[in-house]
Amino acid sequence: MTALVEAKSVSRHYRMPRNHLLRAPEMLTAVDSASFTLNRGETLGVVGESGSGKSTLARMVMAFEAPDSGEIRFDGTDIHALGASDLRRMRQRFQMIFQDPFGSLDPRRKIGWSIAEPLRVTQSEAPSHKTAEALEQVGLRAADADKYPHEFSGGQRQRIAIARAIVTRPDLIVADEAVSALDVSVQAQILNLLMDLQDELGLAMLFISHDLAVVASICDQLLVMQHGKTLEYGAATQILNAPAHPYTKSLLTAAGA
Amino acid sequence: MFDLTNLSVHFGPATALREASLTIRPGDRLGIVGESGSGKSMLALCLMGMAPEAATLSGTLTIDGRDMADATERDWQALRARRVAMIFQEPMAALNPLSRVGDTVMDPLRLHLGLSKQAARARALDLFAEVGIPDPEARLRQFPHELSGGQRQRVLIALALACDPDLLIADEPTTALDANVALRITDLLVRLSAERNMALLFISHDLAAVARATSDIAVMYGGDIVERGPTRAVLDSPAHPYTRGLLGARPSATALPRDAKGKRARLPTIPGTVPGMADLPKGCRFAGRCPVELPRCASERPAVTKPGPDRSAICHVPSKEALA
Repeated sequence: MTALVEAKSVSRHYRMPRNHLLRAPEMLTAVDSASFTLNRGETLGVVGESGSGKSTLARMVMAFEAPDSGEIRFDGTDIHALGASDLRRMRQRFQMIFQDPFGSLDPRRKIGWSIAEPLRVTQSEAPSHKTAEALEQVGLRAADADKYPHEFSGGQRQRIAIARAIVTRPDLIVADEAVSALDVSVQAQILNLLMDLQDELGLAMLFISHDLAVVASICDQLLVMQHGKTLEYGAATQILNAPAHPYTKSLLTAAGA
Repeated sequence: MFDLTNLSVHFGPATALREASLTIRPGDRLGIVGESGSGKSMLALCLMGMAPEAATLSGTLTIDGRDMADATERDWQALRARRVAMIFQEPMAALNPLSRVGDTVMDPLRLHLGLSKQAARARALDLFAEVGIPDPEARLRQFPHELSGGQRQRVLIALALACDPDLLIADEPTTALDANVALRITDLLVRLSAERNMALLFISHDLAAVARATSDIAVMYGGDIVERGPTRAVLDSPAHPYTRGLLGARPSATALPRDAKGKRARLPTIPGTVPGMADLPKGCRFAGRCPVELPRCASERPAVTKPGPDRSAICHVPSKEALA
């Protein structure tokens, strides 16, 4: 069986603002030849500080931007080689959750509308029973579809964002700092929800966070990034028990381990 | 030095803080832990005389034996200038983007201490060196956007130290920082507190940071200080069910084990959500979410129990291990 996601030596560079009129602007290597394999039903945790390239990696997996070199295969297909309409269809199979659920939900739309949004990409009329089902799967009520985002707490809004991500029955969820803005007790509830959904739907997850304690608790494999480089990649238990890189050790110290 | 007795803060029918009592002595390092809406920031604002206008306050706050009930805004200003300083979560938001960071730090030195420009500059240089800013001469001339997040927080700490405060209130000082930087800032605050015999009030939702930064801890929930005591003792054997729940819910940098069928274990959680300020139970604030709740918990406020030396908890059923 092929891996669900396979990244091979993926690199991404950004042009820095020009410092000098007559000199070429400097290039920043956001991601420096990152490789990983993610199987169905498993979780890959990516941990690193701001500027480590972890979000850029996520954006490339989501095909929001293309790598400068290397390739990302989703279920065997190079997603960055797909045409626009093929990619649109493929997108049903991978969805993303962001840090700030308030920023990713339209305040003027009932949440039922927002949750059904990914469905409308391929079908003009989204069936409401799918929205209702997704709401119940994340622990909310089907009737909540008629409410507006401001009527919910932060934790509930993150549940809404998750409902929107699973409504298309994806194979992969990319979660970028999905629990970082939440209180500790709410954070645990959302992490458990993600694990429940993973068991129930066989989801693979790319789980990105600056917080090693959070990443460690839910991932099978771990990728530690710093300044765009992969410092460590492998089975989570192995890296956590015997970190090879001093940076990983310092993250463990910071997590209070 | 700072003595808070039965301080309550109400907004109409809603309670933000209920009968909070605290004593802060020189050199104390006290952590305040709690989730959003627990009242931890309200407590800090009260200590600075900055409670919102709409709030009704009761109870007493004495500073160096002086009852602050009749303090005027001018008294508070003098206090805030010289005795208490505060740093916040978002260093970029607290710095003036149009002002060189050196000028920002020199302003209070000239205003409150009446130093000349040269003297203020020399003092600012000393402060930058003290908080571990490399190449202070060059940094003085830089603008906030030219500094990293950690350096900005150091500038704010230097600013807070400018007038030699007796108490430094740090409200989520490391939350916006990367893990390693957060660790260094935490250690810096501990060092400064020890070297200057300055009290530190470290407010955070991050238990790991509080454990590292403080010697004593107050755990807050729904406007109550539900548990107090030496940090190590409280975190090792929490007496209050909320403290236990909070510690359990925190992931611990180890992978959750999978069973024989490959199903992963779950994190322990506190069921339900924090009620709004106006909907809190009359008795114990944690009633309704508590795993060891008794029928009287929701209506009857528990008395203070003493689970150990220097420890207190407000609970009808404090943990037996903690009491032993």
